[in-house]
Amino acid sequence: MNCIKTEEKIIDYLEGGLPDAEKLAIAAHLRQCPACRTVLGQTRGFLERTDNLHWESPSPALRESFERMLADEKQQQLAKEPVRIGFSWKTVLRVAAVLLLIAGSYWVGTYRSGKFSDTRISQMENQLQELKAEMTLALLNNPSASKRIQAVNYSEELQTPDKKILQAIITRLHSDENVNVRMAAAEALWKFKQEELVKQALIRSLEIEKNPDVQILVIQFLTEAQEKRAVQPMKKLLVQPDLEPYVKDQLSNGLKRII
Amino acid sequence: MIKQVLLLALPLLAAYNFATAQKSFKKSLSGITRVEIHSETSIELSKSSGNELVLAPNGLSDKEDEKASGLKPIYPGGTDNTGIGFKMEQKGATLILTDLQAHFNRSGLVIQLPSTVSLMLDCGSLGNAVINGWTAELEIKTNVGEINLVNVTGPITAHSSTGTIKVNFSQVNQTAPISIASSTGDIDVTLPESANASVELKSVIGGVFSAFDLVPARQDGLKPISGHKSIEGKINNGGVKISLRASTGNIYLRKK
Repeated sequence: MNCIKTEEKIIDYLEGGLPDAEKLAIAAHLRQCPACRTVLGQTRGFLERTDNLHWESPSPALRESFERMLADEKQQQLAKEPVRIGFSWKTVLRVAAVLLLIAGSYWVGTYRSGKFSDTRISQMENQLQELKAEMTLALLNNPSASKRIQAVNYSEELQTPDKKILQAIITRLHSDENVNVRMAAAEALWKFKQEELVKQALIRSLEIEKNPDVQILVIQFLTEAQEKRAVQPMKKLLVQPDLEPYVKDQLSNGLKRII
Repeated sequence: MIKQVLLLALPLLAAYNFATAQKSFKKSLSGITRVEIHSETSIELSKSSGNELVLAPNGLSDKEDEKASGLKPIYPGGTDNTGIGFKMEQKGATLILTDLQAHFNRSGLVIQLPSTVSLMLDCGSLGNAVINGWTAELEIKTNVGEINLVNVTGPITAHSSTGTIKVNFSQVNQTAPISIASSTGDIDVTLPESANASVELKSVIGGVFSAFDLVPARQDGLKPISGHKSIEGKINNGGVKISLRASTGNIYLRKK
């Protein structure tokens, strides 16, 4: 055991925390070395003093001065605040980001709800279309001519009438006893002139119709549609002996225009 | 000219009728919703307040034939079951009256009918009609005869081949469309200024004249020309559809 090792373990030796062998070795060294005995005495004295020390608590003055300091700091911060709002790009960016978020969610919201109400409106439109289709079919056989015209007019409001309705209106065109209804039917069918069924019905009407008013309507439609299949029936009608002269004019005019 | 003479002759005719106390046919209309009358004579029809159809021949040539006393008149068109030369039949809620006498044997009919039924008047090939105050549904057709409708409301479906059609509306019923067409005759319609209607006017060869502004002014200041296209317009924001068509005649739309 030398002086250095003894000094290292002197605190442990004093506090009795060493194994017996080391304790004995240190004690033996201390008996021989007066320098180490001095260290031992000093350390013992230090330890005794630290043991006797009591915890120091801060004085009220310290607390007071700390709080004064805090208040001062706060004051300074407040004084700086307005300057910051005006010029901090960071704040501007933050506000902009928030606004963007709000606007974004509003847009998403309206877009989605818009989609929902769109589907609802189209559903209602579909129902309306179905209703009109039913009304058309129900009224087309009404004994009242006004009601039959009303039914025919309803069909004009249908976007895509099914074959059943077209056929029912064609029946009106070909065989309704009332001229006004036949004219209304021809006009309603003209709205769906792209349908092959309708073109054939108009050509057929030209062959069977006796009333000049309906004849003129049908001739005008077929001329406008450039329907070449109508040329033969038109030529045939042109030589009918009892044909009204103004129908004849329409026919020859139409025949010139169908190229 | 003929019209003026007729107008002058009307009071005389009425007086004559009154004097001769014409027989007439009456029929209760309970359970009837539609009346069809087929006759080739001049018909004057007006609205009655009761629930009865009154049909009276307008005398002159309907004189009693002394030689025919004890005999029953027979007609090719059917049996006279009304006593005035008409055949009457009922199909469901429809009452059909068909004139059995030829045009030349009649000098007109005066009809009174309540506006609780819808009326179909077929004037055949030579008949014409004057209808006053009718407020129920009316379907009328003539061949050469004029149609004159006074203080009516619609719904109306009228057609004449060569006759002029004059219609004076007291108001416009919005329940069903109005369709008036003549092939070679003129169409002369008067609407109240406040009427709601969506009108469609079309004359193939004739002109169209209107007191209502139906064609919006073009933005470039040019005059709109429609050619063969029909003129469509809304009166007082639109309403029931009124379709007026002529082939060679003119169309007049007046305001009152």
